[in-house]
Amino acid sequence: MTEVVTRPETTPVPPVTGALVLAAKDVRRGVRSRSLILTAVVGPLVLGLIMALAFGGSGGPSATIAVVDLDATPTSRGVVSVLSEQLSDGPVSLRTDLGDARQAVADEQVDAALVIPAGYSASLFADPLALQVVRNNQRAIPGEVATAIAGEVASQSDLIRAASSTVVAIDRSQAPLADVGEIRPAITVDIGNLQESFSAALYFGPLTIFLFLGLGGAARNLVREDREGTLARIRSVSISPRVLATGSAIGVFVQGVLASLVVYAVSSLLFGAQWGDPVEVVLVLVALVVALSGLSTIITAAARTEAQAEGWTNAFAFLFGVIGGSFFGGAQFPGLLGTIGSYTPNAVAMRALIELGPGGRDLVSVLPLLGALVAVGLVAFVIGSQLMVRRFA
Amino acid sequence: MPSVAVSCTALRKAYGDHLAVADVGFSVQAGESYGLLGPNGAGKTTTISILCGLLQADGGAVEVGGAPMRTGRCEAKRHLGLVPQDIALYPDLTARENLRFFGRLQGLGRAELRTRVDEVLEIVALEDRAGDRVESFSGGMKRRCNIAAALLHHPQLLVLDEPTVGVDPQSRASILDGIAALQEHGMAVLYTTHYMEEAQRLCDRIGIIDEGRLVAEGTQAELLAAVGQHPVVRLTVDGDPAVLAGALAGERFVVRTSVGEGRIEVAVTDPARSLAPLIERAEQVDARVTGVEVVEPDLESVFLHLTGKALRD
Ligand SMILES: Nc1ncnc2c1ncn2[C@@H]1O[C@H](COP(=O)(O)OP(=O)(O)OP(=O)(O)O)[C@@H](O)[C@H]1O
Ligand SMILES: [Mg+2]
Repeated sequence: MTEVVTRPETTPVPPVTGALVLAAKDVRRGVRSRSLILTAVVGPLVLGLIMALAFGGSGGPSATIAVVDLDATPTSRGVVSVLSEQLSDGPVSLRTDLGDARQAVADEQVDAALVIPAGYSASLFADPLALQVVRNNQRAIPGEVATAIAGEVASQSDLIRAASSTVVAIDRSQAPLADVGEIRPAITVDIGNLQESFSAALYFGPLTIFLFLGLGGAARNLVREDREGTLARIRSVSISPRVLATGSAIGVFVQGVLASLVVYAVSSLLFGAQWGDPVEVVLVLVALVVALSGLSTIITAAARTEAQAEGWTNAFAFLFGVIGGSFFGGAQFPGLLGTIGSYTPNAVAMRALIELGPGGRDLVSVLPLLGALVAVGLVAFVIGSQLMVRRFA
Repeated sequence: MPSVAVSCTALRKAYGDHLAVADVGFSVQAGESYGLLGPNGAGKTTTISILCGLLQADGGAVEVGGAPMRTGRCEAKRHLGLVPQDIALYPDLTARENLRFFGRLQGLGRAELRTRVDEVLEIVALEDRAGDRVESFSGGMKRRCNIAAALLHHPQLLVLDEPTVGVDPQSRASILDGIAALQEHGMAVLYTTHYMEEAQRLCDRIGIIDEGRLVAEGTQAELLAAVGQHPVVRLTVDGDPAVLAGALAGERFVVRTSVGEGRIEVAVTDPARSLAPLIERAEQVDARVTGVEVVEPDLESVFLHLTGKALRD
C-alpha cells in the first residue's frame, strides 16, 4: 500500500441526496441480480398468458347479465332480443321487475343487470335515455361489461331510432303500437369483443401479486446488509434511519415502476392485451406502486431476519392477492371478505383500471381511487420510517 | 484539528443479563495509534460499535474530533472512517462502484470523488482490479478494498475492527504497512485485534480488554514492565497447572508464576538453569509437560498475567 495524496473537502450529504444514492444502489443491484426481472416481470407475464389461454384466446371470465325491460315497447323488446341473440356468451335472463333484478344481482344469481328505463323508446326521438346498469361491486368485470354494453347500445341510438320510426311510419294507420310484437334494430353488440377489452386484468392481477412479492426484497436486503456489515458502514457515515427508510422506499418504487412498465409493454405489444389509454394506465400503475412502496417500508423496518422478511412478504402478497381478487382476474369473494378485499390496494387499482377501460369513465372520476392509493403509500411510509427510527435509535 | 481524536468514558453495554462492555474508557490522540487487544468475545466490536454511533450504549459518552457521537446523524461521524470486522462491501458491485457509493455517502462531490477513488485504489494496490466485482476478489484483496472504503474522505480517525482476519501473511504485512503509512501522515488509528504481534508492531499504546473490561493500558514498554523484565518459560501441561504453581512458589530461581488453562508461565532468573528443575517439579506433582517455550516477556505474557487466560486458544 502507498501513501495518501489529497485531503478532500467533504460536506455532510443532504438527506435527499443520501436517499437517492441509497436507492440508486438498490436499483442497480436489483437489476443486476435479475431478481426483479424474474419475480415482477416474468411471473405476471407467464401467469397472465396461461390464464389468457385457459379462458380461450384473450377472453376473460364469462359474465351473466340480466336485462330488465321497464319500457315494454316494441322497440325495447326488439333491443332485448337483439342483445339476447348477440350476447352468445352466457344467457341473458330477462326480468321485468327492477327490484327482482336488484335482488338477483345482490344474490349473485347474475353478475350484473342492464335496465332499459321506462320511456326509453319515446326518448329516442328527443334526448335518448341511457340504459342503466345494476352492478355488484364485488363483480367488477361483469359490471364493466354491462356498462360497456350500455355504451354500445347508446352509441347505436341512431340505428334503433331509425328502425322504430320506419315501423311507426308503416304502421301508423294500423293497430296500436303496443300490439306490434317487437322492432328489431340492426345493432351489433359483441360481448366477446367487450370482454377482450378487459384482458389486461389477466396480467394486472398477477402483476400486483408479484409486485407484493418483490417488495419484500428490500426487507431481505436490509437484513443482509445488517449481517454483512454494509449497513454498519452506511450508518457510520451519518445516514439517519429516516434517510435509510426513504432510500429503501424509493428503490422499491423505481423497481416496481420499471417492472410494471415492462409487463404493460410486453403484454400489450406482444400478447395483445388491452389496457386502455397509456397515460391513464401508467398513472394507475404508478399509484399502485406508491402504495406498495410505502407498505414495503413497514416490512423493511420490522423484519429482523430474512425468514421474517420472507414470511411477512408472502403472507401480505397471498392474503391481499386472494381477498383482493388478483388471482382470479378481478373476481372477488362474496360477503364480508369481498368487502374487505375490495379495499386492498390491488383491488382498488384493478377497479381504477377497469373503470378507465373501454366504454368506461374518465380520469377525473377515478382520481379518488388513485388518491387513496397514494395516501395509503404515504401513511405506510410514515409508519415505516418511524419504526426504522425506533429500530436504529 | 483537536488534539484528541476520540475519547470515550465509562462505556457500558449489556445484552440482557450479559454485560458485554463494562466501564470502558480510553482516548486516542491525534496521529496516535491505539490498539484494543483482547480475545474473542472480549467486547471489542461492541466498544467500536458504540464509538462509531452504531449502537446505543447503556451508559458513558463518546466524542470524536471534539463532537459528541450519537446513533443518528451527527457531526462526529464526519471525522471517522470505519473498517468493519466483516467485509462490508457489495459483492455484486465492482470495487469502483462500491467506493463511489460510499464516497457519495461520505459527502464527496463528483469531481473529488473521481480523484479520491483513484487515490485510495492506489493506496490499497487495487487499481488493476477496480472494474471487477468484489465477489471475484481473493480474501486479501477484499480486506484491502474494505479498508479503502473507509479512507475516501480522509478521516481524522480510522477505526479498524480486526482488519486482517483470514488473510495470508503477505497480505497482512502489506495491510499493516499501509496502516502505518496512514498514521505517519497524521491519521489517528484505533485498531482492534486478538493478534498480539499486530498490536506490538502497529500501536503506540495498547489497551487490554477482557470480558468487557479494560484491564490494563499503556505503551508496550509500560505493560511489559508490569510483568517484570525477566525471561519467561512457558509450559504446556497435562494436569493442574495451579498445583505446579504452588509447588514452585518457594523456589529461588522463580520470580513469578502465571497460570492459565493447561498452561503456566514462569518468570525465571536464568532459563538455562531452570528448565531441568521445572520439569522435575512438574513430574513430582503429576503434571506432564507437553510443551516448553522460552520467550522474552511479550503481550501474551502480560495478558496471561492479568487475566489468567491465553489470548488465543
Ligand atoms: N447482538 C448481540 N446480542 C447478544 N449478545 C451479543 C451481541 N453482540 C455481542 N454479544 C456478546 O457480547 C460479547 C462481546 O462481543 P463482541 O462482538 O463485542 O466481542 P469481540 O471482542 O468483538 O469478539 P471477536 O474477537 O470474536 O470479534 C460476547 O459475549 C458476545 O456474545
Ligand atoms: Mg469483534
